[in-house]
Amino acid sequence: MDHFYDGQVRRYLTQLVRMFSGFQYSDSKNQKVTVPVMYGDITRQVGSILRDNSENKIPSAPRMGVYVSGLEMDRTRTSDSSYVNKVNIRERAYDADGEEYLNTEGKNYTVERLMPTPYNLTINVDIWTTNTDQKLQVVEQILMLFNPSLEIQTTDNYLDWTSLSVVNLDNVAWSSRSIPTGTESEIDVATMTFSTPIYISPPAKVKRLGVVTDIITKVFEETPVVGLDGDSNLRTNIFIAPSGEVARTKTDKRWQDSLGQLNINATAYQNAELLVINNSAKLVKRGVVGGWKWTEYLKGFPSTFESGITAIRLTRGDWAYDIIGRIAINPTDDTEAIIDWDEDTLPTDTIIPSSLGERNKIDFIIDPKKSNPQDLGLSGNPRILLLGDIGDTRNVDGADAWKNSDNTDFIASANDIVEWDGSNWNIVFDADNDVSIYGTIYTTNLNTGIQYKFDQSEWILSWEGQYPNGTWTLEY
Amino acid sequence: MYMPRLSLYKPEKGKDYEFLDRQILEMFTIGGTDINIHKYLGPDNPDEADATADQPRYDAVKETNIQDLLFLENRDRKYDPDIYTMRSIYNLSDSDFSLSQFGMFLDNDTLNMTIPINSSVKTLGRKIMSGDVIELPHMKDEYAANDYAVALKRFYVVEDVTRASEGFSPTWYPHLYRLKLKQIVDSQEFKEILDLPADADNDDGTTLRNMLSTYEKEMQINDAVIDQAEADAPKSGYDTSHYYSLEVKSTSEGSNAQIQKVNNESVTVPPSKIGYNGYLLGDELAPNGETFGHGIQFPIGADEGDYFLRTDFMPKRLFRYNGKNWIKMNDVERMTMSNTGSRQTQKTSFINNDNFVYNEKVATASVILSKDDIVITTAIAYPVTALYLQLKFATHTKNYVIADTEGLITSNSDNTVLITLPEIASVQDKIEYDGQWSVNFYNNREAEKQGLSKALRPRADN
Repeated sequence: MDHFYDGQVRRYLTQLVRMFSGFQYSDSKNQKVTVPVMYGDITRQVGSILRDNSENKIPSAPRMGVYVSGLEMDRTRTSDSSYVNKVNIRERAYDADGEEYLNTEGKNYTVERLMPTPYNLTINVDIWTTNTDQKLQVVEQILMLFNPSLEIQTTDNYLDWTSLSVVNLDNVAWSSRSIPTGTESEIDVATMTFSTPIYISPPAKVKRLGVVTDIITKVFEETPVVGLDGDSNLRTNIFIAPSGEVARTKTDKRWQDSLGQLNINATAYQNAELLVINNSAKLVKRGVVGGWKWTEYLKGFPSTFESGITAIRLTRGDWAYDIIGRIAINPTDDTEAIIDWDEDTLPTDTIIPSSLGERNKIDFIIDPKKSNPQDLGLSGNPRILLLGDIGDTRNVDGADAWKNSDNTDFIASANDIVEWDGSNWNIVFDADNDVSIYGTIYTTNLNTGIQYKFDQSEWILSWEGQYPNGTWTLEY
Repeated sequence: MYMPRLSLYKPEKGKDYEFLDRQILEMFTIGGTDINIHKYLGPDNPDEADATADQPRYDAVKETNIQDLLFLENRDRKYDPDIYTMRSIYNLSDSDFSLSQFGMFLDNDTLNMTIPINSSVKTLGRKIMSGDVIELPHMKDEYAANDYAVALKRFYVVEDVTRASEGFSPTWYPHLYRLKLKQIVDSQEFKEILDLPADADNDDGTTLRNMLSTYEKEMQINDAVIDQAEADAPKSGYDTSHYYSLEVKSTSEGSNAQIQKVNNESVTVPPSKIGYNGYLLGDELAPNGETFGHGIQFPIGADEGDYFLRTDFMPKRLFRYNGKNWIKMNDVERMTMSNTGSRQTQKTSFINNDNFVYNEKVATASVILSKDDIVITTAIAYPVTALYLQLKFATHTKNYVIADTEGLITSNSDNTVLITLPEIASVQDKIEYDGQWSVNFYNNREAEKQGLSKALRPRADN
């Protein structure tokens, strides 16, 4: 077993010495003398040092000695030994250079404390005096404190749930001398016996703050019970709010799939939704875009938001990997987060070959009935995504703008990608027939930088858009 | 004719006794060792006001006086400043240190010493007695483990004085006293001796106590342990000042942190309560290290979220301004657990109490003062005959004993009282608050702190 020592009994003794320190006696000239208090079980070597290694040195009196006379387990206070108590703590930020705490939020932790073991510590306090009046002066000041007991605290650490205890006065042995005094006039020692219920604790576990702000596993996925309606099959989602309180919310019925199965992957904190447009992200609260300020929303999280470091993850069913970006809050509009997307996590454009070679991007998206490709100032061999049909086999003379060099008409359908090879237009992606070849196709419009995907029958934004509750999360 | 009957014993001490006594003294001179005697004069006489029936004040300090007639003890002993020297003989014996919880003690530290009766009485002026302190010059320790320039002396106190059995001569008259001696301790009883300079010829302020007593070292040890105890638990209760508290607003959907814009930055709203629960958490600090003012009156023009500590509350109380009212945050409940003179828990406030109740007002005036004022002009006619001066602002008071404060009261040019605040411990005393103060002169005051047996007892027959 690893070594562990926290000086727990030592701290009790330290505090007990403190408790009995500072008492004074007064002589006939009203001069006050403080009574020293020391641990009673001193070693011979230190005793010799205290005497300056000389027989001529004289001890002072009065004096008090504190020492342990017993330690017993207190079975009446034993409790569930496996009980673990958790405390969530938010620290203030600490400036290591200035060695001071700042008035901003710092690191956050969860501390786990295992049930400590109860003991009764018995302490003797010997009061050594040279005369009765002196003894009464000291004793009176001490005795009035115990009504019925005196609190003792070994540390003011908020997390130490064993630091507070009480000291009970159990017994007073008035004098060590025989009465009447015989041939020896020995120093008088009054002994007070105190008991203190204490705990001996194992070490705590200090962990990263464990407040649950979102649930990111399929813990709610289940098959509904036949005969029950959807609501009955939806479990109540219980979570711990950032304030530390236990809260509950119902999982969203929207997440039932077509088979009636619950398909909840995750819940975002406060069930917020996210609207992502290019490198901008806004929180959606009950359908209102920008309904939350990021600054306010992020305060609910246990970890500290770090601009440009904290990441956002988007989960999509059509993409095997999370889309990840580093976020920063727009300093002029804190409803908007500026996201620096990690290009490596974005869906990759699909390579579409042609007679001129392979390309995965397009140069323009146009409506062929409204735009003349010659007017776009294209050079080389541009690839264009068509938003509508062009040409028809029934045409006798088609649109001049889309004629080939040999004056023949070019015919293509909406959603096709076409390419100019220098003399003719060619279809490089046939939306009606090539889906079976490519599957899902991604391509980026070089004119705008926006990526699109072909979803069976139409081109849509590939990953931008509204992300419902549970499809996005923050990563600190 | 008959020869007188041979008898060394005579009803009176004759020439034989004197002859033997001289021989015995000579033996002490030849074979004895010097002892220095601090002659006990008697218990210190209490002041007239402090004297009681069982601890009386005697006409004179005498060695036959008893200081405490109940406990039958003489605690505050006076010693002759002169030191008497004589010769003594005693058997040296080996002794071991005995370790007790109070330190190292000599196990066999009782000496039985003999001194000549007549010579000692002639030297001391009386018979040596219990309470006299004897220094043994030949037992000085020059090599003690300290940095003192002088050797450590050895002191014993006389516990018993009897006539030594070996000191009876064939005349049946005693010549020797047997002294039972015990090493002294640094206690109230021997204060006068231990307050003497360690080196009378070169008095640098070092006393015998400084050299001989373990008291200073014990107090240093005690203080070090207290320092550690204060480091472990500076105050009662728990320290949450380094924790962060969020102002949250609870809704049906959970709790939201409250944010505000300050200098175009989004920051959390100053919390209206400490975000942690527990026993004795209230401290003299605003949450999250926010700045706060303190005083005995709320400031004017506060902003929402401002904190203010009212120092005139007992215990002090921290407030937060919500835009309309000052709302109580918490009382300052945390307090040092060391037994200091400033500790103000409910119980210790009855002990650490140097307040007075003032009566018999002589004169009063109201004055408008500014913070840091030192001179106060009043409308009270000069001179004013009073013992005490009290300046009062709201619940805050400043009290002075006029006789103890030189230059406190002087005459203004218009023959009114001019008050000049004094320097206290080299620090100029000043007015702490702007506002209307009252100046009050009194002729009587009673200490608040009084023993329960003495509080408001009749001062005379009634």
